[in-house]
Amino acid sequence: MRAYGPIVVMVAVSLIALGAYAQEEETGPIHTLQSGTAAVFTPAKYASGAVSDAEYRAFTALGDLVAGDASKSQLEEENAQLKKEIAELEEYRQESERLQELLGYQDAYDLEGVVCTVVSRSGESWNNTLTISKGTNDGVRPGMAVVGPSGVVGQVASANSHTSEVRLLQDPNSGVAVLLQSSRAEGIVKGSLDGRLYLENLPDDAQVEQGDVVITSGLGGNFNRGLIVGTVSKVEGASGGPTRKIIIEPNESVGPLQEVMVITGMGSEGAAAENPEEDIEEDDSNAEASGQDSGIDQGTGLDAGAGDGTSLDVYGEDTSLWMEGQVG
Amino acid sequence: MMINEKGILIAGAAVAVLLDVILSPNLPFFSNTPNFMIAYSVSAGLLSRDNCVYGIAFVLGMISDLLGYGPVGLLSILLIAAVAVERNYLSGLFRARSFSEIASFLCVILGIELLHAFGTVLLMDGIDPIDAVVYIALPCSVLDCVLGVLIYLAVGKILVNRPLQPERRPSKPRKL
Repeated sequence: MRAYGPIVVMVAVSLIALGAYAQEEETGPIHTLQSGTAAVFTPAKYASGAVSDAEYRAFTALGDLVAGDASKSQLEEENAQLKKEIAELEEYRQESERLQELLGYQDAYDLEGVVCTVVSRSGESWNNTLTISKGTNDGVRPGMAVVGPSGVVGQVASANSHTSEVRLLQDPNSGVAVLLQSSRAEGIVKGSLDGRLYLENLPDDAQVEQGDVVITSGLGGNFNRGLIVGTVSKVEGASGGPTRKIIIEPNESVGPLQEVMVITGMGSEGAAAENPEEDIEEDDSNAEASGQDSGIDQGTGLDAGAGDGTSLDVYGEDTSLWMEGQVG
Repeated sequence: MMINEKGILIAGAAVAVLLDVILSPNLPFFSNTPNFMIAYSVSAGLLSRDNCVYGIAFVLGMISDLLGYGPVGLLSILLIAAVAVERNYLSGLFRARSFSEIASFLCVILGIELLHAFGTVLLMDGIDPIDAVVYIALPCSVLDCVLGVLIYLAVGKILVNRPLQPERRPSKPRKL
């Protein structure tokens, strides 16, 4: 009987933890312990990122090694072709930069944020998360929206002093309040275990077509209004029917992400403006009049502003909404 | 230096935790990653009669739960139950050499993954049970089984070849 004593104690502790987890809020002790454990393993997560880089380099080197003479000449041809394309792309890049300047993109979105490196990805199948290199010391707080170079990536789930965990849009517990840019119909984009994004809770009469742009609506208070989430890639079932399933293709592919920006502030409605062109012109003239810089670096599209955490009150105490796995 | 069975098993558990954090995210299989802690606990349960295996199962289950965002305590209960089942029904028979033995290994891991999936579905909102089985439990079982057999063979070899416990080696008949 004595031999079973420790086993009974361990099962009892597990059951108590399980019960407490089921009952408590996101700010409860068990959830806090989860965040703390992630912080303890931060050095190992950095090592994981290094292994990931080494793995990529090894595969590339292996590909080079196994390339035979025939493929070498083919590679040389491809190399010449690529050089030509690079020269052309450089022209396009410069043109794009000039156009961006003209459009006043950065003033239109007026983003402020903290740029972070992706340290590692989730090692657990049930969660779709990233570990990023900035934490509360840099002004990152749970609930803040995280974007990549072309769209929303997810939201900060927990933050330690030096690192934070980002829950990706694809995570089954994530949910973001969105609207369709064309019809202004509002709904919720939810992640799933199959890795897809689904648009739910749309009004029955809302018309949805493939290619419709989906942006954050700002409801719930955590995500700023007007950030691009993705586009409608597939609509299954008839409009108004309970079986209608809308699949969203995210604008930002998480796989190759190396840097992300945690948004700490946004001065405009971005893509949610009724007439984006007018909005851009208006913002442009305002910026000229005030002589202020919007905070987005022209070269990278990102800026490390607001790192002092002074602009965080926008989110107030509304973070619990998203943290409960509801609307962002 | 004294190296006992308990020491080897605990050191192996520590290595399993590190490998899970460092290596696991870099071994994706249909967007799933293997769980070194489940694989190690199941292997240790088959390899050792030492009661510390229950403690290892508990600690590894807790760490695995704490590293994710799922229900805390669920995996530790399942791993303790799995060790108990292995000790009563599989231990001593398993050598990972025949199909039936590997199949029984897979059954234990599949049982853990399925019960973990159902527990997670019950305790967390918005997870479809069929998705949980198809997209998580089944692929993870395959991954963990492959990993578990490798760990079983490696740890088994270390335990058998310990220098300070030669009595565990099968003795050869001597010619007089």
